[in-house]
Amino acid sequence: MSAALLDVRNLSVSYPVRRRRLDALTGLSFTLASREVLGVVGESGSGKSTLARSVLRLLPQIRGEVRWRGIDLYGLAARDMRATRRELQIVFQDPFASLNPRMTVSAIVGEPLLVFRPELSRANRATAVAAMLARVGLGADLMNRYPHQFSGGQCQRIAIARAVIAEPLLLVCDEPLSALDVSVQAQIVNLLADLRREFGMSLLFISHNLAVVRRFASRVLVLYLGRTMELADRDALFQAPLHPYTRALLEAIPALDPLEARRARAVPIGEAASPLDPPHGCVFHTRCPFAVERCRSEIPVLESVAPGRQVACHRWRELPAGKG
Amino acid sequence: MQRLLEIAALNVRFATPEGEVAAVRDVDFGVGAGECVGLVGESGSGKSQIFLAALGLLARNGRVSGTARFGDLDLLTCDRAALDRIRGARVGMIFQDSMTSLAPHLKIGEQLAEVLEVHGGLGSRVARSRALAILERVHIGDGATRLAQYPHELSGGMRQRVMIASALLCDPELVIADEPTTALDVTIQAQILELFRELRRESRLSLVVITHDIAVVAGLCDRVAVMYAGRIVEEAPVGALLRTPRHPYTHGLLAAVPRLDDSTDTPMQAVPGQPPNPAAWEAGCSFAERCTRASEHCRRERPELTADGSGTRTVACHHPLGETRA
Repeated sequence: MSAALLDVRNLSVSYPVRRRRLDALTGLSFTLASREVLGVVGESGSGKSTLARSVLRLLPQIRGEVRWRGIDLYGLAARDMRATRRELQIVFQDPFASLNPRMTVSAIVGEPLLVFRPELSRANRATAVAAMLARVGLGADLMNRYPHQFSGGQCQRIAIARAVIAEPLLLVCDEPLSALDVSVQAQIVNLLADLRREFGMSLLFISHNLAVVRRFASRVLVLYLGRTMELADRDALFQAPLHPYTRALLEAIPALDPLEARRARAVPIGEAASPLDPPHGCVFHTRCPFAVERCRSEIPVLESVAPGRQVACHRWRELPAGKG
Repeated sequence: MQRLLEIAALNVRFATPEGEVAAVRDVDFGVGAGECVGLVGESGSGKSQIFLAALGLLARNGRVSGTARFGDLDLLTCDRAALDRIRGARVGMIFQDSMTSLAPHLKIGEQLAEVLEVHGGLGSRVARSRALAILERVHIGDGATRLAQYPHELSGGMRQRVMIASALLCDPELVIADEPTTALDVTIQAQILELFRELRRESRLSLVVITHDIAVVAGLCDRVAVMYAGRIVEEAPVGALLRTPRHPYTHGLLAAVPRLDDSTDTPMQAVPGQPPNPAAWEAGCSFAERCTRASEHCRRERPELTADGSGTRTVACHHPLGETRA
């Protein structure tokens, strides 16, 4: 088996909240191969962004292990970590908040080169920045402008340029489309897909929108209250979702077809429980239409049900086939 | 037949340090009794300003012209007292962000009672029982407990239900919902959309849904108007609009929504370019620079919103798409 680029083993993250412990992630394990795209879906509070921060070592501490190219990321000395950061880049949800308003576009996109390739001359750096901006669709005439002079979509292009200019091996995309207008979202989807191929990057693509994830991901991780509900190859997941939560997420996507849109839907029950006070047994049981007594008392183990496919549900074998 | 709300020739302008900016231009928009109309547009398209203007809620630097007839009253010229009797009572409003729209220091019960005491002249006992009934109607269980809670103690979906309850308290003739599901998770969005459908079935509620997400109106509205750069560019019954969009922008919006059944091997059909800057709207069709069908004619002369043969739909385009969608 080829070595995974990213190997997450039994990852748990907790935050202290008012003298209590909030378990943001509990016992996550997965691998990501070179050039692979793992989609991560779940509602707010599912731990998606904590996962993004974990694999970039943006958290002070974790439990379990994040192995990057075979090395324990959280065991790296500060100096080695600095070099490794070039390989791990991120695009955030809010492009306005993630760009320094006092820096020009060329300074923003050039900064990673200053840090990671200090040997570059000023002229070479400027050339590289201009080429990168052109690649994401921004003309050289815009280089000396400030973020507030751009639209949301253009700012997201700048943020993507800043991440990709470092030539990372892994690009983490944390809800990169959520803040954008619909007509612009598709542009950014296409840009990210093209850049991924050109630069041979792996992607950890985090989104609440399963239809968007379907376009990118070769595998999909479904999170609920910090736990893995299902992990599967894309086609398997979308054709035959096993976990009731995966089904609920798919069912909730509003249809555009006028007839389909009016069909009564099996709308998921209620809202996500508080991560401060997660339900006993299966964390999803309070919203699950299929829950039985066992689900209320016993935490389901994450079971391997087929090659590359895992599901954490007591009842997945007995449930009627999910929608295809 | 006269419609419940009839907005005509509405223009909204804002005075800014960079000069005057037109946010809404020559908009005609009506809502019939019992009808649900969607107003779809991207940020800056002017969709929210139409109703803020009609209800006298524009920012200080805003100016409005045109008419907004509600019953036998023009909302744009009637006096303040008349407007106060309408807002919150005959017209209910639901906004996107329930955290900022609910007063953080008032318990849910106090917020709801206030509406009833101001508009209904109800005593506190009656107001409380009415508030309990309305919470039940929007499916908030354990109403007595909820009334004693503060907004921050509720989840986002629950708060949005309180917002809806608050808009429905005085049995309004019209409810305007501005991005009512945008801040919510997709599962909660599905629940809130289902609630709106149910409320419509129960009471022939007249409803305007303002949204950037065309999928939100698909299962809810009877008719949809699409806005671009301050103008309505297409209006049609929802099925016709979704199946056979005539305006290239409407077509682009629909194509840009990722679907669970589209091919993942080909790039998505994106609308090129950026939404226009309101300060820089020019002559001709505002969409021309992003439009693959645009001709010289489009850049020179602005297309008027005109009805097609069926009489049920209008489009503002020199080169509209044909009967069937490619």
